[in-house]
Amino acid sequence: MASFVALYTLEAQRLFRRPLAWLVLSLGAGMMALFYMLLMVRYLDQEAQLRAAGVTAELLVRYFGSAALIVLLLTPLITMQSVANDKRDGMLRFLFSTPASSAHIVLAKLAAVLSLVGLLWAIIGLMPLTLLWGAPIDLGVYATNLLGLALFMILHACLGVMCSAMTRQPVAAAVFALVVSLTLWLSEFAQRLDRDSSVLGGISTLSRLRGFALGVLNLADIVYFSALALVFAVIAVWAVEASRRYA
Amino acid sequence: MNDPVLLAAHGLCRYYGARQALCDVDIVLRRGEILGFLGQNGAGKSTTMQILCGALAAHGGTVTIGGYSLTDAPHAAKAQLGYLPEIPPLYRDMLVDDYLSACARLHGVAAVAVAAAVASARQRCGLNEVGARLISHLSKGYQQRVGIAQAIVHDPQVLILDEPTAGLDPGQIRDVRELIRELGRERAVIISTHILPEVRMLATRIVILHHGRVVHDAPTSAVRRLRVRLRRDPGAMALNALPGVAEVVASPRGWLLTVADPEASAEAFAAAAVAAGWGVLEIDPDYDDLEHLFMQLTSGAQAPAASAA
Repeated sequence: MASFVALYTLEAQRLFRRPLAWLVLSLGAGMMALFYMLLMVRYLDQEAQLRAAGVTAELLVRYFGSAALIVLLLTPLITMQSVANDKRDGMLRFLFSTPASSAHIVLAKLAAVLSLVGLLWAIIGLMPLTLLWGAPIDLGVYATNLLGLALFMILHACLGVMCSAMTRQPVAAAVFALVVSLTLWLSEFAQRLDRDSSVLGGISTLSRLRGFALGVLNLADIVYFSALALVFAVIAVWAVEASRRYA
Repeated sequence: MNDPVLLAAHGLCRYYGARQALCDVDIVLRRGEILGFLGQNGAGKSTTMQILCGALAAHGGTVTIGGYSLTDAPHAAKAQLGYLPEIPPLYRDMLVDDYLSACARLHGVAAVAVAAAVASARQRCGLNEVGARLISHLSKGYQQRVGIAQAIVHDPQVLILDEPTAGLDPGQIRDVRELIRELGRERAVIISTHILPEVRMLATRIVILHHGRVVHDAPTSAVRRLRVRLRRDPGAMALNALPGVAEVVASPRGWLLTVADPEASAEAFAAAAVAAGWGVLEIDPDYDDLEHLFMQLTSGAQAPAASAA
């Protein structure tokens, strides 16, 4: 446990020192602020009868939908260097010579990524609370959206670290992660073309997020995100250990 | 030889695809020993060292460090190990002090002892003036010193150093050699280098690896010789009678004396030569013997049979 804490401190320290981390964070926050403003303007421009759906459905849900897309695009930029850089620079070999195990190494890197992603989650989550000054929002729906976004972020952090653990090239890791996350996101559209296939809709992160967006807490959705994140994390540990065993 | 065994590796094997990089490598290292690890490029030195420190898995054989198996108790075993790879493992975007603190914590140094451990490693490696500087801003020599500092910051019992003096200037090389000598008194040290005189100066035992097999494993003294040149020829009999001299061989450039301890023997020889009026022109450690042995063992197409210590 001590080596995990030491490694996490080291990784977090290094991650937060990188300009890229702050660039991604400010880019994410800036884009969400822009989306928020556009949604607000759109809502205020609507006819009165369209506003009847309420600020929660018209503004909050759309806002979190945009947030998921932003997270999908930005997370690979945060995760791409996590393991790939260490593999390329020989630092992974050094980490293997310390008491930290492969699981410690991956989990510490993942925890450091989640610290940064968590900061983005907090910024995204706090922004719509400003609505409370002028409009009633459904805090239950707000909470499920927040939970859905958190699970979505954890899943993509695990996916990104897994892709980073599979290559020495950070750019390749980012592209790989983006392709997998877009495939998961868009598989729902593939199901629309092939209505007999229920598998494609079932694995779509977009369709799994819909329940959270509507304020429905579905255990199957929570299990889906948690299990997939766990699978990605386990594959990442295996990929790191493989470079010690079979390199 | 009653010192405890700090590192024991038996029957190490490693394959890269179908190619066998290591075959049945045995290394035993006791406290107070400095092992010079030699071999041509591609002989398997780095692979062996990476296996010894757990950075690479062996496909056969066992490694124990300080009595702990690297397979069954990797945490306890690796806590007693310091490793400097050929390219120093550095996070160049960190400050020297921050990096050394992180390394100390990674190796299990208690939080309250980290500052003292860092200060000690920094002082031993001559890094006091650069503690607050970014590693990427340091010269190659200083970066190498930071690499050595990370290997000793947790006061390990076993040190594995791959090319420890690479990139250092002559003054720094002398300091690092002195540091290795000092560390080797209470610990077990493995140094790998292509500089044979360095091995001769530091090592108490030499292991030569060729085509993934140990072809020589013997104390340095086994191949230790002095080269002496005298104005007047005393004859082999007179030289053989000197204390500490095991063998005398005539060579075109003087006499080659095989001795147990070159430093002590050189002093004794100088005193005897002056007393006898032989006219000493030159007394040197014969570095060629190691080079000769190395070339003999590694230049042939066939690997000679291993010679046990």
